[in-house]
Amino acid sequence: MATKGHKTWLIYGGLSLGGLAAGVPFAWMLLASFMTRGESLRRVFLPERLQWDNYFNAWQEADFGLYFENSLIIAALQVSGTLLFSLLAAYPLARMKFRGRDVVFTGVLATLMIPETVTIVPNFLTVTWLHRNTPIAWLNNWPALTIPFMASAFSIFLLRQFMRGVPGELWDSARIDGTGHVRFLLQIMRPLCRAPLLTVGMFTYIGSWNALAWPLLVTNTPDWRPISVGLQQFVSEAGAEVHLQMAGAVIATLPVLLVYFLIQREFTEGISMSGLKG
Amino acid sequence: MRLKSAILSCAIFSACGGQQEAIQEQQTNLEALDPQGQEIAFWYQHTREREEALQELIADFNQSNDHQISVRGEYVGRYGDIYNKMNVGIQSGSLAASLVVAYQNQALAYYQADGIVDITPYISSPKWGLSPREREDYVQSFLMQDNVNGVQIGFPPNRSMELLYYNLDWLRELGFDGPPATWDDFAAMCHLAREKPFGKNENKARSLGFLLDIDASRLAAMVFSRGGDLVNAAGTAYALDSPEVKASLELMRDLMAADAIDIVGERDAELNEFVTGQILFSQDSSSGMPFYKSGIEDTGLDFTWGVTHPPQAGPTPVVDVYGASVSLCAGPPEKQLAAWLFLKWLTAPEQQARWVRASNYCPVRKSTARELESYFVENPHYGVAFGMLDYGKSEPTMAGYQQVRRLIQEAMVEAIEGGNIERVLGDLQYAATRTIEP
Repeated sequence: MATKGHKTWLIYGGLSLGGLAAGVPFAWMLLASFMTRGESLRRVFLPERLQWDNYFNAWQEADFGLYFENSLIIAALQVSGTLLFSLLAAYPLARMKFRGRDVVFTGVLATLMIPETVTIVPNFLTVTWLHRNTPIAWLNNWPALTIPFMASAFSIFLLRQFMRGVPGELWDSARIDGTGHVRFLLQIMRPLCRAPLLTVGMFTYIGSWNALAWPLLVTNTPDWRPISVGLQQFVSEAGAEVHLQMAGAVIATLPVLLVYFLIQREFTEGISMSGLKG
Repeated sequence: MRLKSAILSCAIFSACGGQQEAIQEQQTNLEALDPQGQEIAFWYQHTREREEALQELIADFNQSNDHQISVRGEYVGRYGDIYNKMNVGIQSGSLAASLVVAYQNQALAYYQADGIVDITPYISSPKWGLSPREREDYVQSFLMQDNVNGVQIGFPPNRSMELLYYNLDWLRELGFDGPPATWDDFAAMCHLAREKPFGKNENKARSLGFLLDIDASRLAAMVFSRGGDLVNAAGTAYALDSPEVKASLELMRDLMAADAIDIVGERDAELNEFVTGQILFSQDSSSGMPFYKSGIEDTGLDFTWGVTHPPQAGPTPVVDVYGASVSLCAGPPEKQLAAWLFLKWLTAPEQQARWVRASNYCPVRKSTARELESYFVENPHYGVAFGMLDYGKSEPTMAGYQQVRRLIQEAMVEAIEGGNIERVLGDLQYAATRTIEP
């Protein structure tokens, strides 16, 4: 029979293995980004001298400056929009009683089951129609890259789950003070939802930062293309320049890592408080 | 040879029956068109140096053409991304391109969806087309790759071929003075490479004859070199259970079992292991030659290497020649004409030579050789590849070939891992045939 000490060792051992499996590719990416091409081809473990030039070359060759700026704007718009619409949609589904509420919520949940690839063509048709029939230029512009993703079923679900856990007494007290739904949502619920809102923001940010297929579909020029396209473009058709590719990958990954580390505590809290933990 | 070329030209550029009438009618309209001032977009997959070179060519065309046609070159992703973009564009009726890079099977799918047009009337146009002499100058087999039932669904700006890269210094260490002539020689050399690592290999624990990439083009090259094909003689049905396919897979399975070869486990592994002296042979695209060259220089091993056709079974070699072509997207007739004029200009020998120097692709016009004399001297390996253009043979151009390629790859893995090859190929043939059944 395993003692408590053994169990602890097993847990830590398992976690360490998991951590190693997740960390090694990152470590390899980082090390390879500092190698010469010869070193990356010979699969050496450590570079003899750090090749900082790789970052400069990757930045210059892939025009990362433009893509970086685009990604930041797209992510900011998408995160803001998703937070706004998810909050507005989740609140009535969690706190208000109206006819058909459960049907609406089931409908929202059902959209989670549809693979993204299936929705690409209808989304493109919609965006094309809007491009032709509204004064706004949707294609090759930020609206096509952001607006279709501002209504996220997953974000609505996550926020709704959290809001259902907020004690009903708060609403009762607020009503006694004469507060309506909008004020209650903005002044009481929103601050309480800080952790799940940050989680939704983080998921949206990662999704926006990594998006590739859709931006390629709705843009034809680099003017509004995000960094994932720049990274893909940087990968040459033939031949391997792994050292430069890895430098590009580090550049593209850093902002996501940075934001994650900044809100790590709230992110974990948001997931666990929304009942999504395993 | 000239007679053969002429006959092939006729086969390519002439259509039969009702098709011919339709083409003539189109041509009558074509002659009256004015492409003046048209703005067109060209969707391609090229990046970095190749894209820079292509953009320079486009800029030159925009400045020099007599009709003030303006071409806009746009990178829109890899082949798969372009395919998706074309499909949604065709479905939504908002195709923004006039020219698109496409593999033959992709182009056929676009054609069937009315997304691209037949190029034959443009080629044959007395006013805008190619002269008989110009037509003969194109490598006829390249043009044939894009010709499906008399319909020219694409026009080749370049091609690549499947070559065998070999480490000559290592071969000499093993007692040979050149690459293998037959598949038996190849097998013997692979076995020896397993036993005796290359002197300059820093990782002696890894010493193999070859790394097999699980890719339909690799298998196609082996089958072609044995005199076989992946389709029947008429090109109307798959023939994936032929003796040549079986022999190719059996050889790979036996070499795997003897640990003389291995399967490619990651992207560009064959290039990496070749340039580090861990594998004796690599079968790869001719367009990768600059990367092999620079890789060998960068690793500091500086061994002598060469390229040749895959080992052969018959008296003449056969090489798998492939590559995406450029298709003319359906749109206003003036735009289509403007797109054709750019395509014609791009495949003229002078532009071809510039494109070859930037991309290392094979040109599609024979007379380009005159423009490339100094390039052959600077890049002798490229000269060898160029000399093999006449031995080119292409992979199937059926619309569902992309799906069949995946089936072939699955069958390759199953066969090489010890599955019953007869059964595996029987299943493959059945599954592939189902993809072309109505």
